[in-house]
Amino acid sequence: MTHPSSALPRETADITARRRDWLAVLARASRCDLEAVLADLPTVPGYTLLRPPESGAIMVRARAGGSGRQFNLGEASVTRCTVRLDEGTAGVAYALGRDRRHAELAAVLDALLQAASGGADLYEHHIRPLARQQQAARDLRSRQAAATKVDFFTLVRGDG
Amino acid sequence: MSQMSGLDLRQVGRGFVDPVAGAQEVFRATMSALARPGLAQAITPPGDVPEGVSPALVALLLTLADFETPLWLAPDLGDESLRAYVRFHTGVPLVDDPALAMFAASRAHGAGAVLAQLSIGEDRYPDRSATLLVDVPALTGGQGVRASGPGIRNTVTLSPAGLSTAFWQAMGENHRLYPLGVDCFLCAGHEMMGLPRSSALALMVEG
Repeated sequence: MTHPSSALPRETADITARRRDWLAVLARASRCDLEAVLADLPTVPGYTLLRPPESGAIMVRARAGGSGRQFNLGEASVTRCTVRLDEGTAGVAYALGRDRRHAELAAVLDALLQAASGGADLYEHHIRPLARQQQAARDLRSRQAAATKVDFFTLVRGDG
Repeated sequence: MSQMSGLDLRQVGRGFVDPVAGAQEVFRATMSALARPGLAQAITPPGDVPEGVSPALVALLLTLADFETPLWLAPDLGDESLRAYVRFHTGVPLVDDPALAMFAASRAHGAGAVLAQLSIGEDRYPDRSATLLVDVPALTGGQGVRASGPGIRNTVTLSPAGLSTAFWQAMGENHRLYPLGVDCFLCAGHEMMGLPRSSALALMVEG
């Protein structure tokens, strides 16, 4: 499969990459974080639920060692939502778990982040700090895990 | 197959306001429609309906179509917003050839020609036939047609508007293929009726 953004003009590809980035941050954030972001905005625009939040299951696939054969790791619950702001921009969200409110808030924020005016501000003041928090938490976890790492090795057995 | 990334969500409206209940109510109505051919059934309309199509036809598509049921839409039925709408809400693949479709939707004009191109199923699997949805101007006021067969006590007279003699001839051919053949739904406004392949149809002579 070709990369969906490879055929797009540079500017669109750039937006797609940034959007992928903030969609991941919104999906990983807690519902409280997203409520706080929205509460902080001067006005919350009206919106329509094009696809009301709905939960389902997806198959999570992985590769052994990150590069080996693909296998099914297991199923995970996912909730998705699509909204359209009254001015027309649509926002989407897919988030692990079954929190419908989380998906709705994330979809609204996705739409707001795409806005030509205010989108960049919103990203700088609210999304980037969330991204930093998430990165720090991930780093901490991987350091803690790394500290318990054991290297196994086998001594060469003698022939006789 | 079309990619979701190509969808313009600005053109897309809401599906059923309550997706689960809406689809269940309309599904129940489709079963009643096929069990009682020629009897109009009320449908639950979706929250938004694309330009140029009846709410009943859109409700049937939302209820019946999914990613496993290739759909053919007549070129003169609705515009790009209908295509974006059904792809977004149902994930249905759109096909250019009616012969490949499991569902086909058309205006009254041209419905007969489409009917002849649709899959009629196989002897061992008559259920693999296509289903035709026709958007008609109204379910009454047209040429009288007498229907008989399973689900009809004696006969029933129906008179959907906008359908040509050629359409009724094609429906007659379709009935003769039984147990193969296409099942048909006529849609107008917030109502639809079923005309399954099992119904024998006879055009009534005027006067």
